[in-house]
Amino acid sequence: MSLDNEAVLLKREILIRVATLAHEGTLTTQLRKLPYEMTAAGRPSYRCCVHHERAILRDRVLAVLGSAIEERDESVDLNEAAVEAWERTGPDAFPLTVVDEACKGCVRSHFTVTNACQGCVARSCRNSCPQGSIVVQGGRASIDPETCINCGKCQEACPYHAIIHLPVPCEEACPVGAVTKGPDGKETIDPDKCILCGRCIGACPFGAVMEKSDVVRIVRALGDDRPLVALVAPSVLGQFPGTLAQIYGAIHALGFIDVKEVAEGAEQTAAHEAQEWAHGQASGQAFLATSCCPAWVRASRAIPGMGAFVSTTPSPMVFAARAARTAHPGAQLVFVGPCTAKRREALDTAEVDAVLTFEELGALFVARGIEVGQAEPFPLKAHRPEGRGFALSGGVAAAVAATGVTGLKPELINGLTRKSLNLLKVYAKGKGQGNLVEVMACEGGCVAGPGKVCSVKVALTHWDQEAK
Amino acid sequence: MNDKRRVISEVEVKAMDRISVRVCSGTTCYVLGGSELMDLARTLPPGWRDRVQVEGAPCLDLCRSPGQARPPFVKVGDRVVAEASVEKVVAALRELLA
Repeated sequence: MSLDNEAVLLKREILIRVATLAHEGTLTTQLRKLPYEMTAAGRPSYRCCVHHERAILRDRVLAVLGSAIEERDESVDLNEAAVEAWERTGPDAFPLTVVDEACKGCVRSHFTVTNACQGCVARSCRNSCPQGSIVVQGGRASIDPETCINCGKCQEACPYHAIIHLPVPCEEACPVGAVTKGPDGKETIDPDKCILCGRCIGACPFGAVMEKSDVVRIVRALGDDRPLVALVAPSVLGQFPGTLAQIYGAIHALGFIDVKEVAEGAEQTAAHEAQEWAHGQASGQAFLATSCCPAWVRASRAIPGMGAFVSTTPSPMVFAARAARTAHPGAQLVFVGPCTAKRREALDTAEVDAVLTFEELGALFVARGIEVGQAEPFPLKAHRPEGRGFALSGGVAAAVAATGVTGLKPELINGLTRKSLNLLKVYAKGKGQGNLVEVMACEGGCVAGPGKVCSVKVALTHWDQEAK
Repeated sequence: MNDKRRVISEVEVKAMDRISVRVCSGTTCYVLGGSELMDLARTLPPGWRDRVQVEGAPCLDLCRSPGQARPPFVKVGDRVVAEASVEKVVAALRELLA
Protein backbone atom coordinates (compact mmCIF):
# COMPACT_ATOMS: atom_id res chain seq x y z
CA MET A 1 0.00 0.00 0.00
CA SER A 2 2.12 2.86 -1.16
CA LEU A 3 3.31 3.51 -4.67
CA ASP A 4 1.17 0.64 -5.90
CA ASN A 5 -2.11 2.17 -4.71
CA GLU A 6 -2.87 5.42 -6.50
CA ALA A 7 -5.87 6.04 -4.25
CA VAL A 8 -3.44 6.52 -1.35
CA LEU A 9 -1.48 9.09 -3.35
CA LEU A 10 -4.69 10.94 -4.29
CA LYS A 11 -5.64 11.19 -0.62
CA ARG A 12 -2.19 12.49 0.26
CA GLU A 13 -2.37 15.10 -2.48
CA ILE A 14 -5.71 16.32 -1.10
CA LEU A 15 -4.26 16.44 2.42
CA ILE A 16 -1.36 18.53 1.13
CA ARG A 17 -3.62 20.89 -0.82
CA VAL A 18 -6.02 21.36 2.09
CA ALA A 19 -3.20 21.89 4.60
CA THR A 20 -1.57 24.42 2.24
CA LEU A 21 -4.77 26.43 1.79
CA ALA A 22 -5.44 26.31 5.54
CA HIS A 23 -1.92 27.51 6.28
CA GLU A 24 -2.16 30.30 3.71
CA GLY A 25 -5.51 31.40 5.11
CA THR A 26 -7.38 30.82 1.83
CA LEU A 27 -9.18 27.59 2.72
CA THR A 28 -12.60 29.22 3.05
CA THR A 29 -12.31 31.13 -0.24
CA GLN A 30 -10.34 28.77 -2.51
CA LEU A 31 -11.31 25.23 -1.49
CA ARG A 32 -14.22 25.15 -3.96
CA LYS A 33 -11.69 25.09 -6.83
CA LEU A 34 -9.81 22.03 -5.60
CA PRO A 35 -11.79 19.32 -7.46
CA TYR A 36 -11.42 21.37 -10.66
CA GLU A 37 -7.68 21.85 -10.25
CA MET A 38 -7.23 18.15 -9.63
CA THR A 39 -9.11 17.27 -12.81
CA ALA A 40 -7.26 19.73 -15.07
CA ALA A 41 -6.12 18.58 -18.51
CA GLY A 42 -3.30 16.05 -18.37
CA ARG A 43 -4.33 14.69 -14.98
CA PRO A 44 -5.05 10.98 -14.74
CA SER A 45 -8.71 10.06 -14.76
CA TYR A 46 -10.17 7.02 -13.07
CA ARG A 47 -13.93 7.38 -13.49
CA CYS A 48 -16.51 7.41 -16.26
CA CYS A 49 -16.43 11.18 -16.68
CA VAL A 50 -14.91 14.30 -15.22
CA HIS A 51 -18.12 15.12 -13.35
CA HIS A 52 -18.09 11.88 -11.41
CA GLU A 53 -14.37 12.35 -10.78
CA ARG A 54 -15.05 15.79 -9.30
CA ALA A 55 -18.00 14.58 -7.23
CA ILE A 56 -15.74 11.96 -5.65
CA LEU A 57 -12.88 14.39 -5.12
CA ARG A 58 -15.31 16.75 -3.45
CA ASP A 59 -16.37 14.00 -1.03
CA ARG A 60 -12.73 13.11 -0.38
CA VAL A 61 -12.10 16.75 0.51
CA LEU A 62 -15.02 16.63 2.94
CA ALA A 63 -13.46 13.62 4.70
CA VAL A 64 -10.14 15.48 4.91
CA LEU A 65 -12.11 18.34 6.50
CA GLY A 66 -13.28 15.85 9.14
CA SER A 67 -16.87 15.37 7.90
CA ALA A 68 -18.89 12.18 7.78
CA ILE A 69 -19.73 11.70 4.08
CA GLU A 70 -22.78 9.65 5.02
CA GLU A 71 -24.38 12.66 6.67
CA ARG A 72 -23.52 15.34 4.12
CA ASP A 73 -26.02 17.12 1.96
CA GLU A 74 -24.88 16.77 -1.64
CA SER A 75 -25.42 20.43 -2.31
CA VAL A 76 -22.98 21.56 0.38
CA ASP A 77 -20.42 24.06 -0.87
CA LEU A 78 -16.76 23.28 -0.12
CA ASN A 79 -15.97 26.83 0.98
CA GLU A 80 -18.81 26.66 3.50
CA ALA A 81 -17.65 23.21 4.65
CA ALA A 82 -14.20 24.76 5.15
CA VAL A 83 -15.68 27.43 7.44
CA GLU A 84 -17.34 24.67 9.45
CA ALA A 85 -14.08 22.67 9.65
CA TRP A 86 -12.16 25.75 10.75
CA GLU A 87 -14.66 26.33 13.58
CA ARG A 88 -14.83 22.70 14.67
CA THR A 89 -13.87 22.14 18.31
CA GLY A 90 -13.16 18.41 18.15
CA PRO A 91 -13.25 15.36 15.89
CA ASP A 92 -16.19 13.00 15.34
CA ALA A 93 -16.38 10.05 17.73
CA PHE A 94 -16.24 7.57 14.84
CA PRO A 95 -13.16 8.33 12.73
CA LEU A 96 -13.99 6.42 9.53
CA THR A 97 -16.30 7.33 6.68
CA VAL A 98 -17.27 5.63 3.42
CA VAL A 99 -17.19 7.79 0.30
CA ASP A 100 -20.21 6.11 -1.25
CA GLU A 101 -19.67 7.86 -4.60
CA ALA A 102 -16.25 6.20 -4.73
CA CYS A 103 -17.47 2.80 -3.52
CA LYS A 104 -17.75 0.47 -6.48
CA GLY A 105 -20.48 -1.53 -4.78
CA CYS A 106 -18.58 -4.74 -5.56
CA VAL A 107 -20.81 -7.74 -6.21
CA ARG A 108 -21.12 -10.10 -3.29
CA SER A 109 -18.02 -12.23 -2.76
CA HIS A 110 -18.36 -15.24 -5.08
CA PHE A 111 -16.74 -17.82 -7.34
CA THR A 112 -17.20 -17.55 -11.06
CA VAL A 113 -16.21 -19.59 -14.12
CA THR A 114 -14.14 -17.54 -16.59
CA ASN A 115 -13.91 -18.05 -20.35
CA ALA A 116 -10.75 -20.08 -19.76
CA CYS A 117 -13.16 -23.00 -19.12
CA GLN A 118 -12.58 -25.72 -21.72
CA GLY A 119 -15.77 -27.66 -21.02
CA CYS A 120 -13.56 -30.69 -20.42
CA VAL A 121 -14.64 -34.30 -20.10
CA ALA A 122 -13.19 -34.59 -16.58
CA ARG A 123 -16.02 -32.46 -15.11
CA SER A 124 -13.79 -32.03 -12.02
CA CYS A 125 -15.63 -28.88 -10.95
CA ARG A 126 -19.05 -30.47 -11.08
CA ASN A 127 -17.83 -33.61 -9.33
CA SER A 128 -16.14 -31.66 -6.52
CA CYS A 129 -19.18 -29.49 -5.76
CA PRO A 130 -20.94 -30.61 -2.56
CA GLN A 131 -24.03 -28.60 -3.49
CA GLY A 132 -24.61 -29.78 -7.04
CA SER A 133 -24.42 -26.12 -8.07
CA ILE A 134 -22.42 -26.62 -11.25
CA VAL A 135 -23.84 -27.48 -14.64
CA VAL A 136 -21.94 -27.78 -17.92
CA GLN A 137 -23.90 -26.49 -20.85
CA GLY A 138 -22.78 -25.48 -24.33
CA GLY A 139 -19.19 -26.47 -23.61
CA ARG A 140 -18.89 -24.31 -20.51
CA ALA A 141 -19.40 -24.78 -16.77
CA SER A 142 -21.50 -22.35 -14.75
CA ILE A 143 -22.22 -21.95 -11.05
CA ASP A 144 -25.72 -21.43 -9.71
CA PRO A 145 -25.33 -18.48 -7.30
CA GLU A 146 -28.53 -19.45 -5.44
CA THR A 147 -27.19 -22.76 -4.14
CA CYS A 148 -23.40 -22.12 -4.13
CA ILE A 149 -21.96 -21.94 -0.59
CA ASN A 150 -18.62 -20.33 -1.61
CA CYS A 151 -16.57 -23.32 -0.47
CA GLY A 152 -14.06 -22.96 -3.32
CA LYS A 153 -13.69 -26.70 -4.02
CA CYS A 154 -14.41 -26.22 -7.74
CA GLN A 155 -11.63 -23.65 -7.97
CA GLU A 156 -9.16 -26.15 -6.54
CA ALA A 157 -10.44 -28.92 -8.79
CA CYS A 158 -10.33 -27.12 -12.16
CA PRO A 159 -7.30 -28.31 -14.15
CA TYR A 160 -7.31 -25.08 -16.22
CA HIS A 161 -7.49 -22.63 -13.28
CA ALA A 162 -10.58 -21.32 -15.02
CA ILE A 163 -12.54 -20.63 -11.82
CA ILE A 164 -11.74 -17.48 -9.88
CA HIS A 165 -12.76 -16.00 -6.57
CA LEU A 166 -14.03 -12.42 -6.75
CA PRO A 167 -13.76 -10.97 -3.26
CA VAL A 168 -15.17 -7.82 -1.70
CA PRO A 169 -11.76 -6.54 -0.58
CA CYS A 170 -12.90 -4.32 2.31
CA GLU A 171 -15.19 -7.00 3.76
CA GLU A 172 -12.45 -9.59 3.40
CA ALA A 173 -9.93 -7.33 5.15
CA CYS A 174 -12.21 -6.64 8.13
CA PRO A 175 -11.37 -9.12 10.91
CA VAL A 176 -14.62 -8.55 12.80
CA GLY A 177 -17.30 -8.44 10.10
CA ALA A 178 -18.05 -4.75 10.64
CA VAL A 179 -18.06 -3.90 6.91
CA THR A 180 -21.21 -5.01 5.10
CA LYS A 181 -23.40 -3.94 2.21
CA GLY A 182 -26.32 -1.62 2.62
CA PRO A 183 -29.51 -2.04 0.56
CA ASP A 184 -27.95 -0.05 -2.32
CA GLY A 185 -24.97 -2.42 -2.54
CA LYS A 186 -22.59 0.18 -1.14
CA GLU A 187 -20.50 -0.66 1.90
CA THR A 188 -21.26 0.58 5.38
CA ILE A 189 -19.23 0.25 8.58
CA ASP A 190 -20.94 -0.72 11.83
CA PRO A 191 -19.38 1.64 14.40
CA ASP A 192 -20.21 -0.70 17.27
CA LYS A 193 -18.49 -3.71 15.74
CA CYS A 194 -15.60 -1.79 14.13
CA ILE A 195 -12.29 -2.00 16.03
CA LEU A 196 -10.71 0.85 13.99
CA CYS A 197 -7.78 -1.25 12.80
CA GLY A 198 -8.01 0.62 9.49
CA ARG A 199 -7.46 -2.45 7.28
CA CYS A 200 -10.41 -1.54 5.05
CA ILE A 201 -8.79 1.82 4.23
CA GLY A 202 -5.85 0.17 2.51
CA ALA A 203 -7.83 -2.78 1.21
CA CYS A 204 -10.36 -0.87 -0.91
CA PRO A 205 -8.98 -0.60 -4.46
CA PHE A 206 -11.20 2.46 -5.00
CA GLY A 207 -10.01 4.31 -1.89
CA ALA A 208 -13.61 4.56 -0.70
CA VAL A 209 -12.90 4.21 3.01
CA MET A 210 -11.35 7.34 4.44
CA GLU A 211 -10.42 8.74 7.81
CA LYS A 212 -12.06 11.93 9.01
CA SER A 213 -8.97 14.06 9.33
CA ASP A 214 -8.37 16.60 12.07
CA VAL A 215 -5.66 18.36 10.08
CA VAL A 216 -7.50 21.67 9.62
CA ARG A 217 -8.09 22.02 13.35
CA ILE A 218 -4.38 21.40 13.97
CA VAL A 219 -3.32 23.99 11.39
CA ARG A 220 -5.58 26.44 13.19
CA ALA A 221 -4.24 25.45 16.63
CA LEU A 222 -0.66 25.96 15.39
CA GLY A 223 -1.54 29.60 14.72
CA ASP A 224 -3.29 30.13 18.07
CA ASP A 225 -1.76 31.46 21.28
CA ARG A 226 -2.11 28.21 23.22
CA PRO A 227 1.13 26.25 22.81
CA LEU A 228 1.18 22.80 21.24
CA VAL A 229 3.30 19.82 22.25
CA ALA A 230 3.78 16.84 19.91
CA LEU A 231 3.93 13.30 21.30
CA VAL A 232 5.55 11.22 18.58
CA ALA A 233 5.14 7.45 18.28
CA PRO A 234 8.37 5.45 17.86
CA SER A 235 7.14 4.14 14.48
CA VAL A 236 8.02 7.57 12.98
CA LEU A 237 11.50 6.33 12.11
CA GLY A 238 11.80 6.08 8.31
CA GLN A 239 8.50 7.84 7.68
CA PHE A 240 10.39 10.90 6.44
CA PRO A 241 13.82 11.55 5.00
CA GLY A 242 16.56 12.39 7.48
CA THR A 243 17.42 11.13 10.93
CA LEU A 244 15.06 10.71 13.88
CA ALA A 245 16.47 13.92 15.42
CA GLN A 246 15.81 15.76 12.14
CA ILE A 247 12.21 14.53 11.99
CA TYR A 248 11.75 15.86 15.53
CA GLY A 249 13.45 19.09 14.45
CA ALA A 250 11.04 19.43 11.53
CA ILE A 251 8.05 18.95 13.86
CA HIS A 252 9.52 21.62 16.15
CA ALA A 253 9.86 23.92 13.12
CA LEU A 254 6.11 23.57 12.49
CA GLY A 255 5.56 25.49 15.72
CA PHE A 256 5.28 22.78 18.37
CA ILE A 257 7.00 24.17 21.48
CA ASP A 258 8.22 20.72 22.49
CA VAL A 259 8.45 17.29 20.88
CA LYS A 260 8.29 14.25 23.15
CA GLU A 261 9.09 10.66 22.34
CA VAL A 262 6.19 8.34 23.16
CA ALA A 263 8.97 5.73 23.55
CA GLU A 264 9.54 7.25 27.00
CA GLY A 265 5.95 6.43 27.92
CA ALA A 266 6.48 2.97 26.44
CA GLU A 267 9.23 2.30 28.97
CA GLN A 268 6.74 3.06 31.75
CA THR A 269 4.10 0.85 30.11
CA ALA A 270 6.59 -2.03 29.98
CA ALA A 271 7.59 -1.60 33.63
CA HIS A 272 3.92 -1.49 34.80
CA GLU A 273 2.90 -4.36 32.57
CA ALA A 274 5.79 -6.50 33.91
CA GLN A 275 4.56 -5.87 37.47
CA GLU A 276 0.98 -6.61 36.51
CA TRP A 277 2.10 -9.81 34.79
CA ALA A 278 4.11 -10.96 37.84
CA HIS A 279 1.15 -10.27 40.17
CA GLY A 280 -1.19 -12.14 37.86
CA GLN A 281 1.13 -15.15 37.67
CA ALA A 282 1.46 -15.21 41.47
CA SER A 283 -2.32 -15.26 41.84
CA GLY A 284 -2.77 -18.04 39.28
CA GLN A 285 -3.92 -16.02 36.25
CA ALA A 286 -3.38 -17.99 33.02
CA PHE A 287 -1.98 -15.10 30.98
CA LEU A 288 -1.84 -11.37 30.48
CA ALA A 289 -2.70 -9.74 27.15
CA THR A 290 -0.96 -6.44 26.31
CA SER A 291 -2.99 -3.24 26.13
CA CYS A 292 -0.96 -0.77 24.06
CA CYS A 293 -2.78 -1.47 20.76
CA PRO A 294 -6.13 0.36 20.94
CA ALA A 295 -7.64 -1.65 18.06
CA TRP A 296 -6.93 -4.83 19.99
CA VAL A 297 -8.37 -3.38 23.20
CA ARG A 298 -11.59 -2.66 21.26
CA ALA A 299 -11.57 -6.14 19.72
CA SER A 300 -11.02 -7.79 23.10
CA ARG A 301 -14.35 -6.43 24.36
CA ALA A 302 -16.20 -8.67 21.92
CA ILE A 303 -14.41 -11.85 23.03
CA PRO A 304 -16.33 -13.49 25.90
CA GLY A 305 -14.12 -13.93 28.97
CA MET A 306 -11.18 -11.97 27.56
CA GLY A 307 -11.77 -8.85 29.68
CA ALA A 308 -10.17 -10.39 32.80
CA PHE A 309 -6.92 -11.04 30.92
CA VAL A 310 -6.32 -7.70 29.19
CA SER A 311 -3.80 -5.51 30.95
CA THR A 312 -5.13 -2.37 32.62
CA THR A 313 -1.77 -0.63 32.24
CA PRO A 314 -2.15 2.69 30.40
CA SER A 315 -0.74 2.90 26.89
CA PRO A 316 2.58 4.59 26.08
CA MET A 317 0.60 7.53 24.65
CA VAL A 318 -1.17 8.03 27.99
CA PHE A 319 2.04 7.89 30.03
CA ALA A 320 3.75 10.27 27.61
CA ALA A 321 0.75 12.63 27.78
CA ARG A 322 0.78 12.72 31.57
CA ALA A 323 4.49 13.61 31.62
CA ALA A 324 3.93 16.29 28.98
CA ARG A 325 1.02 17.84 30.94
CA THR A 326 3.28 18.15 33.97
CA ALA A 327 6.10 19.65 31.92
CA HIS A 328 3.83 21.98 29.93
CA PRO A 329 0.65 22.77 31.87
CA GLY A 330 -1.84 24.56 29.64
CA ALA A 331 -0.40 23.23 26.38
CA GLN A 332 -2.45 21.25 23.87
CA LEU A 333 -1.09 17.76 23.28
CA VAL A 334 -1.05 16.23 19.80
CA PHE A 335 -0.30 12.54 19.39
CA VAL A 336 1.51 11.83 16.11
CA GLY A 337 1.38 8.24 14.89
CA PRO A 338 0.22 5.86 12.15
CA CYS A 339 -2.92 4.69 13.95
CA THR A 340 -6.66 5.08 13.28
CA ALA A 341 -7.73 3.57 16.61
CA LYS A 342 -5.59 6.10 18.49
CA ARG A 343 -8.05 8.79 17.35
CA ARG A 344 -10.70 7.10 19.42
CA GLU A 345 -8.37 6.28 22.33
CA ALA A 346 -7.52 9.99 22.46
CA LEU A 347 -11.21 10.88 22.78
CA ASP A 348 -12.05 8.09 25.23
CA THR A 349 -9.15 8.76 27.60
CA ALA A 350 -9.18 12.56 27.12
CA GLU A 351 -5.43 12.46 27.75
CA VAL A 352 -4.44 14.13 24.47
CA ASP A 353 -6.21 16.89 22.56
CA ALA A 354 -5.73 15.78 18.96
CA VAL A 355 -4.28 13.03 16.79
CA LEU A 356 -2.24 13.47 13.64
CA THR A 357 -1.20 10.62 11.35
CA PHE A 358 2.20 10.48 9.68
CA GLU A 359 0.51 11.16 6.34
CA GLU A 360 -1.11 14.27 7.79
CA LEU A 361 2.16 15.36 9.38
CA GLY A 362 3.76 14.99 5.95
CA ALA A 363 1.05 17.24 4.49
CA LEU A 364 1.85 19.88 7.12
CA PHE A 365 5.56 19.70 6.27
CA VAL A 366 4.84 20.15 2.57
CA ALA A 367 2.35 22.97 3.23
CA ARG A 368 5.02 24.82 5.17
CA GLY A 369 7.88 23.99 2.79
CA ILE A 370 9.82 22.19 5.51
CA GLU A 371 12.58 19.94 4.15
CA VAL A 372 12.91 17.24 6.78
CA GLY A 373 16.24 16.05 5.36
CA GLN A 374 17.70 19.54 5.94
CA ALA A 375 16.05 20.18 9.31
CA GLU A 376 17.97 21.20 12.41
CA PRO A 377 18.21 18.09 14.64
CA PHE A 378 16.14 18.29 17.83
CA PRO A 379 17.95 17.12 20.98
CA LEU A 380 16.56 13.70 21.93
CA LYS A 381 16.75 12.37 25.45
CA ALA A 382 18.93 9.35 26.10
CA HIS A 383 16.69 6.30 26.06
CA ARG A 384 16.72 2.55 26.27
CA PRO A 385 16.03 0.81 22.94
CA GLU A 386 13.08 -1.15 24.39
CA GLY A 387 10.75 1.86 24.32
CA ARG A 388 11.26 2.46 20.61
CA GLY A 389 10.87 -1.27 20.02
CA PHE A 390 7.13 -0.96 20.78
CA ALA A 391 6.69 0.00 17.12
CA LEU A 392 7.53 -3.50 15.92
CA SER A 393 5.79 -6.83 16.50
CA GLY A 394 7.56 -8.54 19.37
CA GLY A 395 8.77 -5.26 20.81
CA VAL A 396 6.36 -5.07 23.72
CA ALA A 397 7.07 -8.62 24.85
CA ALA A 398 10.80 -7.91 24.52
CA ALA A 399 10.45 -4.76 26.65
CA VAL A 400 8.56 -6.67 29.35
CA ALA A 401 11.24 -9.38 29.28
CA ALA A 402 13.98 -6.74 29.55
CA THR A 403 12.60 -5.61 32.93
CA GLY A 404 14.03 -8.83 34.33
CA VAL A 405 10.86 -10.83 35.08
CA THR A 406 11.39 -14.59 34.94
CA GLY A 407 9.25 -17.40 33.53
CA LEU A 408 7.86 -15.34 30.66
CA LYS A 409 6.35 -17.37 27.80
CA PRO A 410 5.33 -14.80 25.20
CA GLU A 411 2.92 -15.48 22.34
CA LEU A 412 3.00 -12.87 19.59
CA ILE A 413 -0.18 -12.06 17.72
CA ASN A 414 1.32 -10.27 14.72
CA GLY A 415 -1.78 -8.82 13.06
CA LEU A 416 -5.47 -9.13 13.92
CA THR A 417 -7.22 -11.34 11.38
CA ARG A 418 -10.18 -13.68 11.61
CA LYS A 419 -7.68 -16.47 12.17
CA SER A 420 -5.69 -14.80 14.93
CA LEU A 421 -8.93 -13.69 16.62
CA ASN A 422 -9.93 -17.34 16.76
CA LEU A 423 -6.67 -18.15 18.52
CA LEU A 424 -7.38 -15.35 21.00
CA LYS A 425 -10.82 -16.85 21.65
CA VAL A 426 -9.05 -20.09 22.57
CA TYR A 427 -6.88 -18.11 24.99
CA ALA A 428 -9.96 -16.52 26.59
CA LYS A 429 -11.12 -20.05 27.43
CA GLY A 430 -7.85 -20.60 29.30
CA LYS A 431 -6.42 -22.96 26.68
CA GLY A 432 -3.44 -20.97 25.40
CA GLN A 433 0.23 -21.92 25.53
CA GLY A 434 1.83 -18.58 26.40
CA ASN A 435 1.49 -16.52 29.55
CA LEU A 436 2.07 -13.11 27.96
CA VAL A 437 0.09 -12.44 24.80
CA GLU A 438 1.34 -9.46 22.85
CA VAL A 439 -1.30 -8.31 20.37
CA MET A 440 -0.71 -5.87 17.52
CA ALA A 441 -3.54 -5.27 15.07
CA CYS A 442 -1.20 -4.42 12.19
CA GLU A 443 1.11 -7.06 10.70
CA GLY A 444 4.64 -6.08 11.56
CA GLY A 445 3.52 -3.73 14.32
CA CYS A 446 2.73 -0.01 14.34
CA VAL A 447 5.16 0.61 11.45
CA ALA A 448 2.44 -0.98 9.31
CA GLY A 449 -0.31 1.33 10.59
CA PRO A 450 -2.91 2.73 8.17
CA GLY A 451 -1.57 6.29 8.53
CA LYS A 452 2.00 5.41 7.59
CA VAL A 453 3.91 7.17 4.80
CA CYS A 454 6.35 4.50 3.64
CA SER A 455 6.08 0.75 3.25
CA VAL A 456 7.12 -1.49 6.11
CA LYS A 457 10.08 -2.69 4.06
CA VAL A 458 11.49 0.81 3.70
CA ALA A 459 10.77 1.66 7.35
CA LEU A 460 12.67 -1.44 8.47
CA THR A 461 15.79 -0.42 6.53
CA HIS A 462 15.80 2.82 8.53
CA TRP A 463 15.36 0.80 11.73
CA ASP A 464 18.34 -1.32 10.86
CA GLN A 465 20.40 1.82 10.31
CA GLU A 466 19.29 3.88 13.30
CA ALA A 467 17.25 2.18 15.97
CA LYS A 468 20.15 0.26 17.39
CA MET B 1 55.22 5.82 -11.97
CA ASN B 2 53.90 6.45 -15.43
CA ASP B 3 51.93 3.22 -15.38
CA LYS B 4 50.21 4.11 -12.13
CA ARG B 5 49.11 7.49 -13.45
CA ARG B 6 47.59 5.85 -16.48
CA VAL B 7 45.52 3.44 -14.31
CA ILE B 8 44.12 6.29 -12.20
CA SER B 9 42.97 8.24 -15.20
CA GLU B 10 41.21 5.19 -16.56
CA VAL B 11 39.28 4.85 -13.29
CA GLU B 12 38.38 8.49 -13.50
CA VAL B 13 37.14 8.12 -17.04
CA LYS B 14 35.06 5.14 -15.95
CA ALA B 15 33.53 7.17 -13.10
CA MET B 16 32.64 9.96 -15.52
CA ASP B 17 30.93 7.44 -17.77
CA ARG B 18 28.63 6.34 -15.02
CA ILE B 19 25.06 7.47 -15.40
CA SER B 20 24.00 9.46 -12.39
CA VAL B 21 20.60 8.64 -10.88
CA ARG B 22 19.51 11.31 -8.42
CA VAL B 23 16.49 10.40 -6.30
CA CYS B 24 14.80 13.50 -4.90
CA SER B 25 14.65 13.21 -1.11
CA GLY B 26 12.59 16.35 -0.68
CA THR B 27 9.63 16.01 1.67
CA THR B 28 7.03 16.33 -1.11
CA CYS B 29 8.54 13.57 -3.23
CA TYR B 30 9.05 11.34 -0.20
CA VAL B 31 5.46 11.72 1.00
CA LEU B 32 4.01 11.19 -2.49
CA GLY B 33 5.62 7.82 -3.00
CA GLY B 34 9.34 8.61 -3.22
CA SER B 35 9.97 6.75 0.03
CA GLU B 36 9.77 3.54 -1.95
CA LEU B 37 12.70 4.60 -4.16
CA MET B 38 15.12 4.82 -1.26
CA ASP B 39 16.56 1.38 -1.83
CA LEU B 40 16.59 1.75 -5.61
CA ALA B 41 20.33 1.02 -5.75
CA ARG B 42 19.78 -2.43 -4.30
CA THR B 43 17.01 -3.32 -6.74
CA LEU B 44 18.97 -2.52 -9.93
CA PRO B 45 20.33 -5.43 -11.97
CA PRO B 46 23.76 -6.39 -10.55
CA GLY B 47 25.39 -5.98 -13.97
CA TRP B 48 24.63 -2.25 -13.90
CA ARG B 49 26.35 -1.49 -10.64
CA ASP B 50 29.55 -0.07 -12.06
CA ARG B 51 27.74 1.81 -14.82
CA VAL B 52 25.14 3.55 -12.68
CA GLN B 53 25.62 5.84 -9.70
CA VAL B 54 22.51 6.12 -7.49
CA GLU B 55 22.36 8.87 -4.88
CA GLY B 56 19.78 10.65 -2.77
CA ALA B 57 19.54 14.36 -3.51
CA PRO B 58 18.10 17.23 -1.51
CA CYS B 59 14.90 18.66 -3.04
CA LEU B 60 15.56 19.00 -6.79
CA ASP B 61 12.93 21.79 -6.89
CA LEU B 62 11.02 20.03 -9.65
CA CYS B 63 7.77 19.95 -7.62
CA ARG B 64 7.70 23.76 -7.70
CA SER B 65 8.20 24.08 -11.45
CA PRO B 66 5.05 24.83 -13.47
CA GLY B 67 3.41 22.10 -15.51
CA GLN B 68 1.55 18.87 -14.95
CA ALA B 69 4.56 16.70 -14.06
CA ARG B 70 3.99 15.17 -10.66
CA PRO B 71 6.21 13.85 -7.87
CA PRO B 72 8.09 11.77 -7.00
CA PHE B 73 10.95 12.89 -9.26
CA VAL B 74 14.18 11.14 -10.21
CA LYS B 75 16.87 12.53 -12.51
CA VAL B 76 18.41 9.85 -14.70
CA GLY B 77 21.37 11.62 -16.30
CA ASP B 78 19.76 14.82 -17.62
CA ARG B 79 16.38 13.26 -17.96
CA VAL B 80 13.59 13.93 -15.46
CA VAL B 81 11.43 10.96 -14.56
CA ALA B 82 8.13 12.14 -13.03
CA GLU B 83 5.77 9.97 -10.97
CA ALA B 84 8.84 7.81 -10.65
CA SER B 85 8.77 4.16 -9.72
CA VAL B 86 11.55 1.59 -9.70
CA GLU B 87 10.17 0.24 -13.00
CA LYS B 88 10.20 3.68 -14.69
CA VAL B 89 13.77 4.41 -13.58
CA VAL B 90 14.93 1.01 -14.80
CA ALA B 91 13.24 1.64 -18.17
CA ALA B 92 14.96 5.05 -18.48
CA LEU B 93 18.33 3.50 -17.62
CA ARG B 94 17.81 0.68 -20.09
CA GLU B 95 17.39 3.22 -22.90
CA LEU B 96 20.52 5.12 -21.89
CA LEU B 97 22.62 1.99 -21.44
CA ALA B 98 21.51 0.43 -24.73
